[in-house]
Amino acid sequence: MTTFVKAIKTINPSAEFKFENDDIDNITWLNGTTPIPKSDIVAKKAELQTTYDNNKYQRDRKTEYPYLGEQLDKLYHDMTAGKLDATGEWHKTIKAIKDKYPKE
Amino acid sequence: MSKTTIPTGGITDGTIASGDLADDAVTAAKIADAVTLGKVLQTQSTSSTSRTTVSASTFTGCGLSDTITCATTSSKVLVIVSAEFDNDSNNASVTNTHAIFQLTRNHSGISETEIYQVREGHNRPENSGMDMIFIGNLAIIFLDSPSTTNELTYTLNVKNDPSTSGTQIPANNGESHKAMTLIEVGA
Repeated sequence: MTTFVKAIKTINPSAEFKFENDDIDNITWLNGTTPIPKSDIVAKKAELQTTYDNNKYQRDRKTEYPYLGEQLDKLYHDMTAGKLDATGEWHKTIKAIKDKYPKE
Repeated sequence: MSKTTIPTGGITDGTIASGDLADDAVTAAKIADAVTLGKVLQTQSTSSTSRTTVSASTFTGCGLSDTITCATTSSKVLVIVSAEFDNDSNNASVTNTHAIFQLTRNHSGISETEIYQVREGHNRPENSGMDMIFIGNLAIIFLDSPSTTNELTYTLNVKNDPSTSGTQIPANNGESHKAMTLIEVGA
């Protein structure tokens, strides 16, 4: 999800401003901030939304990857068993999640 | 014997008890005039669902203020502010984000005084690699002693730390309000 605030901050991280009810026709620019044209804000918001939507698979995977300590433990046991290849438990676990949420 | 005076010896035990008074001897109005201590003299209140978004490093009004004019200089003003708000760090590389609220009293445009400040925040000990968003409930209850009968304006302001973050008040869920109530209390 993205917002007008995120769009403005992406264009100018130092921008200071306020507005009411997402009305970007009436932004009050604060503390000497140079106004950003509405068209630039709208375009940047659309761009950020596209990126966000395209990265859904990353967010889905991230929530299902095991905790880092658990992954390292799997690697340790795979090493001990001489399975640091596609037959190891770590590889199988990670591959199952990647297959579940393929990169589009 | 006059009915408007108490004759000598009329109060036989030397004490005026409620039974010695006629029913209409002391009116409610007289009691009201005489007793103001702790009494609510007036209330003012405002409420809004209009959502104000602020991203600023200095205190900025967030669309909530109300005025009151006290009856006496000794009056107190109980200020009650309530609002649900949300804060977004807008930055994946920070480990904390805060909304700092300030309540000010403006004295007839003559002077502005900060009377209360509160910081609402969220911290993560480790960088998660994602933006932080939190929703909070702002509650301010402050007893002010303005010592004036001039018009007073109380205003809620907000600023962000870090300034890359943004605060919406009320929160962007379509249900929240922001509200301020001012109660003049006799003292």
